[in-house]
Amino acid sequence: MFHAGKPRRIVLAALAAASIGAWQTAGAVGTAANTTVSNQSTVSYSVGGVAQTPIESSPTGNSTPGGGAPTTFVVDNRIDLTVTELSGGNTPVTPGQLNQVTAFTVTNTGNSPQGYQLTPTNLAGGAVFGNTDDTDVANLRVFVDSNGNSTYDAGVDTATAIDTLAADAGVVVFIVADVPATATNGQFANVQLSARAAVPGTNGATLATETAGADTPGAVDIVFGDAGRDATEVAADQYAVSSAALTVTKTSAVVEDPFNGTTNPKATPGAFVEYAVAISNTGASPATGLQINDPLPANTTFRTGAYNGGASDVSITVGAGSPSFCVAEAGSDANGDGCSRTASDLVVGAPALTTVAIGAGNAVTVRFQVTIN
Amino acid sequence: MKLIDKSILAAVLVSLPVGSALAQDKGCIELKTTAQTEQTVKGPDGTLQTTLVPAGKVVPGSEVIWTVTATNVCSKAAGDVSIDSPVPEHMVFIADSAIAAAFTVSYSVDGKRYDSAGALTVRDADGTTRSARADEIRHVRYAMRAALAPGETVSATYRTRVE
Repeated sequence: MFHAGKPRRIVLAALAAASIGAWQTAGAVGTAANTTVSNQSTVSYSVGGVAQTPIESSPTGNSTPGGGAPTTFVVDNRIDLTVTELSGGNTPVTPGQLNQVTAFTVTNTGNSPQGYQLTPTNLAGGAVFGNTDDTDVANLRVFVDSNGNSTYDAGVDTATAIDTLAADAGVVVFIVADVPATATNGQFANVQLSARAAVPGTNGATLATETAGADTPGAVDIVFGDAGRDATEVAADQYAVSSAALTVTKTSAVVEDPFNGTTNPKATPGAFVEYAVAISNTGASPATGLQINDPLPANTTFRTGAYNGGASDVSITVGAGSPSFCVAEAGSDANGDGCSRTASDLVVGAPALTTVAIGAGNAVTVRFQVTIN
Repeated sequence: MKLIDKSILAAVLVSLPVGSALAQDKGCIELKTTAQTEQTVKGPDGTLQTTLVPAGKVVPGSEVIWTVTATNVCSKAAGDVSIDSPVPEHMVFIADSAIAAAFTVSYSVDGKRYDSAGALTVRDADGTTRSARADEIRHVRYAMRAALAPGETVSATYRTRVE
């Protein structure tokens, strides 16, 4: 209890340091606002060949040695900033994902501390990273990196405006958005962060205004020095929607009949017909949690023991790999291998079938046979 | 009587420093330094015209024109007129920007050795000597070629940029 005050001070100091994750670069923005620039000339001369006491200048003219005064002015506040996209590439997202992040850097390139109002928007059309915008993200929010790790920490990075950024300092700003479930593979949602200079210490609420008209002598005027002279800069980033896109094809072939055996079998009653369900993923993300429900054709009977030397009912191959097998029990999946059947449907799911990876070489083919009644 | 003596003494003591300051004679040259910036305005005929206005709205990168004006306020000519104008702190000299018709202009990096801009040298840390860059010039000296006649006014300018 005696030392309760000391740890508290330390915690407070740490919080203050973490309030904005800004960094400072070498002084490249120039002379700080409110700096007085001063100049005074001195003339030496002689009269009648005799050197006289030098005379210092004044703003209005001085002829008394020692009576001069410097000519001065005050450096004004040049508001200038840059906004740049941070990663150099887009953010891959899948449909329905929440709180997806794009990141930017806001840098104060002016000569005075400044605040910034931050506005995220969905762009309509136009290309970012060479990809044309064709969808939007929802629930756009903006947060300022509070701890300088350039990674959005939900609940930690909570500031929605830049309160004060020192001259030549930069800070990372995140746009956080939700991806609509209706977005489809290959779509791009282009977004923009706009930063507008504000009066420092107002948490972006009071926008900075340029001093109109003539200079106010001796006072710091505000001059917008950014491109466009509007104290506003923007940068774009992109969400790239990637999802699984499955192609399912089903083929059938007569494999054996009671009369011809396996040589040129015909679809006669009693013949065995093999169905092959091929699933390929042409999307950009693996498809997971896959399950096939295949209605058994009318006038046929599911053929048990068709594969694996009569031990299994269903054959599953991935690409050109060796087949794996499962048993499709009638009723529930008693052995838990993922395969079962009802009176009308064959069900193939986990663990026999779970994932279809991207690419033609990873296509999954599920085979089963029926007997023609 | 004693009280009066004391008050007179006090008055004399107080007036002494003031009197000594005023005792400084006026010189023969009145020297004025002004800071100006260029402002481009649209004239009545629609053309853009550049005018000089008192330095205002000066931000990093702004150019400021320093004008020093010397007037002979005596009845005798002033000879060996030499005006030294240091480049202000936070500013850099802009190359070849001095306009001084009546003067010979020389420059200095250290405020001691003056030379023409092309002949000015700087010794680097490794001991080698090279020509000084314009942004290393910290002093400009205008030496008047002729005497400054009574009532005559001459002026000279150079430009600097705010760092």
